[in-house]
Amino acid sequence: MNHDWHDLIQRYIAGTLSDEEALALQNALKSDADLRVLYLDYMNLDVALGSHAESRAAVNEILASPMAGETSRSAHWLSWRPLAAAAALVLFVGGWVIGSSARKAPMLSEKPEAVDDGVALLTQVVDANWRGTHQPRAGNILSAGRLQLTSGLAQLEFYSGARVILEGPSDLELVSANRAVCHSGRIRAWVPPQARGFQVVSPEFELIDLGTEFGMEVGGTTGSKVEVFDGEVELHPADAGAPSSTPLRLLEGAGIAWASTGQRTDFRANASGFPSFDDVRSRSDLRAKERYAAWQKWSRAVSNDSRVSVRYDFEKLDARLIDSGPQHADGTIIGCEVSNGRWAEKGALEFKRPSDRVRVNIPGSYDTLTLSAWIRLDTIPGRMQGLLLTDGHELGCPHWQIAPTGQLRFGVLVAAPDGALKGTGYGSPELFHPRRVGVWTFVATTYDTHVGKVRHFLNGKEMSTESLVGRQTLRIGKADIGNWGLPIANGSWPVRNFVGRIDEMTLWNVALTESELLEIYQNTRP
Amino acid sequence: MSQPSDHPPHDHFLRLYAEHEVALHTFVRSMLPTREEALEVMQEVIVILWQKFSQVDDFRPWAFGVARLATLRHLERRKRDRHVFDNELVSQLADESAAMSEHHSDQREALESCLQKLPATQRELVINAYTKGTRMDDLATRRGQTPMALYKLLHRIRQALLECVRRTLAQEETI
Repeated sequence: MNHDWHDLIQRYIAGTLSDEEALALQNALKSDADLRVLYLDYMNLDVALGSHAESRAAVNEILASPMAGETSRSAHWLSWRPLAAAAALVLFVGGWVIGSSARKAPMLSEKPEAVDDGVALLTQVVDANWRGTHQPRAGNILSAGRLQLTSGLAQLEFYSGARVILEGPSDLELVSANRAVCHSGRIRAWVPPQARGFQVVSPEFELIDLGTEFGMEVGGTTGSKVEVFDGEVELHPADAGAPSSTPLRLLEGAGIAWASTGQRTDFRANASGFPSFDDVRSRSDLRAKERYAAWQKWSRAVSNDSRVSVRYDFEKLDARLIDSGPQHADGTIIGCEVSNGRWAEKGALEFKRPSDRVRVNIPGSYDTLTLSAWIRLDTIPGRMQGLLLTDGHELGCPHWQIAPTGQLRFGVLVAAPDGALKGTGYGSPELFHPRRVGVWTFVATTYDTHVGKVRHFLNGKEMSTESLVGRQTLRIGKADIGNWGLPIANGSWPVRNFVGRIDEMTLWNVALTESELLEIYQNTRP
Repeated sequence: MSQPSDHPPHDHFLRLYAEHEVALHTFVRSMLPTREEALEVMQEVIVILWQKFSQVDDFRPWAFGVARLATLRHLERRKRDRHVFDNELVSQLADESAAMSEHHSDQREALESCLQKLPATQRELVINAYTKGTRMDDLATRRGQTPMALYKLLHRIRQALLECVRRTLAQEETI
């Protein structure tokens, strides 16, 4: 008997097993302890996903209610808060406890609206190292969750308007656009008037900001410290049952150390003890300059690399786009605004209007080819957007573009054995989702007739690999960067211009490997 | 329920219940074939727990005992249905589920970061699929997919999530 147990268990959960399969599952579960563990893990996952969805629905409901935004000043909310954790779980996660009729059936109307659960933007990082495999980068949108910075600096902009500098090592949990929990470490926060009520929780107290700038340190031997540099904050003891549970107001210049025993010590605030927003900006600018200089050096070296066939570095932009490779296949810029690239000093072209494009003519034929580019897509995908498209659609002439679904796509016309022409296309998984909009991204596609594969890469990592249909040799010839020139039909043509910026594009005469592309990414990332 | 803080035993109950709710839910779920039945039984369980609460010292074992009995009663009622495991297997699953309770709680914690690792569209999809009132055929229509294709996609996502969760915990154990 050879079952896919994952599939069988999931279909058991979905109620689509036949009697025979259900019996087979029962017998296997009885005799196989590992399978029971798998089954129980799936059941646990099922419950966890259910409560995740429920609590998100509850949060959406709370945010949509008129009370939201008033929370910090509402006495009702404050008195209720000590029980919030417990009560929210019972009332909302277990919505059925109080009857789920209160919630309307979710919107299954015609047009689903795109949604995003971001609460803050990571705007700057300086030498930041994060705990875990996911290393957030500047420009990333952050959802509620834990941010564990092991070293370096990071600056966040909450959607409420509050700005926070995190100094590693720090462990900050984002709860909403208006609330964070500082588990340990040092933060500096600036809260403009429109973000009044921004809350930061420490083990000893809940800080409610009344429009200010303050520093906070959690997890030292002394408990938690707050220093107010400007304006005022209000501290509520975390333990609501404590004898002195009245909120404490701290004014500009005041500092307080709050031990876990509840003992408090006053001291004078010292703003220079925390990195300032100017510090972060100037250090981050300095890092950017260093990276740009490193990229320039790398770029000069790579132009002489024998694997490079054509290379546009998008520097020194005038009417021409200069090919620094061996063939000098310069392009001509039509429309497009000259703009900034990955770094402030780096050149880039901005493509926006259906007319914007760079016209190129690239000689040569290729049995193996890599197309790589640094791009910043500035719109949510919804139609085809050209990265490099050959004119028309002819035998062996590739089309490299972003599909309406957000996939990276490589298409080429090949000859079938009977001589008929056949369009073939190879797509990556969805790479350009709303969160990647506006973020500089390194894309690459390799085409290899020797091993018969097309692969797509994102930031150096392989995203997909597909077997080639036919072993068609490629040629480019006349083509457009960021658009589709002179299409098949006369008169009008599909609008396929890229919307966003491009600041580097290279054609390699080999199919680069993942480790090579990863190295390029590391050398060139912002 | 509207003013919990006025009633100290109520506070106490809410705290305990909130602390153990998900573990109880997982425990009940492991004995039952469908999500809906698990919710139904949980609703009975909370009523019983609340009614008998004042007489209890050690909440957790008591609550698990109540949940087990309520689930078995439920299974008794629908015994003739297909897809119900026999008593022997149900008891075995219940015992093992209770024993794995802590491990499952770690898994639920790891799930949060695994969800973040999913492409946003897949994360939305799986959360939508679990949101109350969502019908799979509507969801499929909205996505321009057949229900079968949607089920398959959800299977893949869930399998990926489970593998991610297991991997995460395995890594934490080896470090």
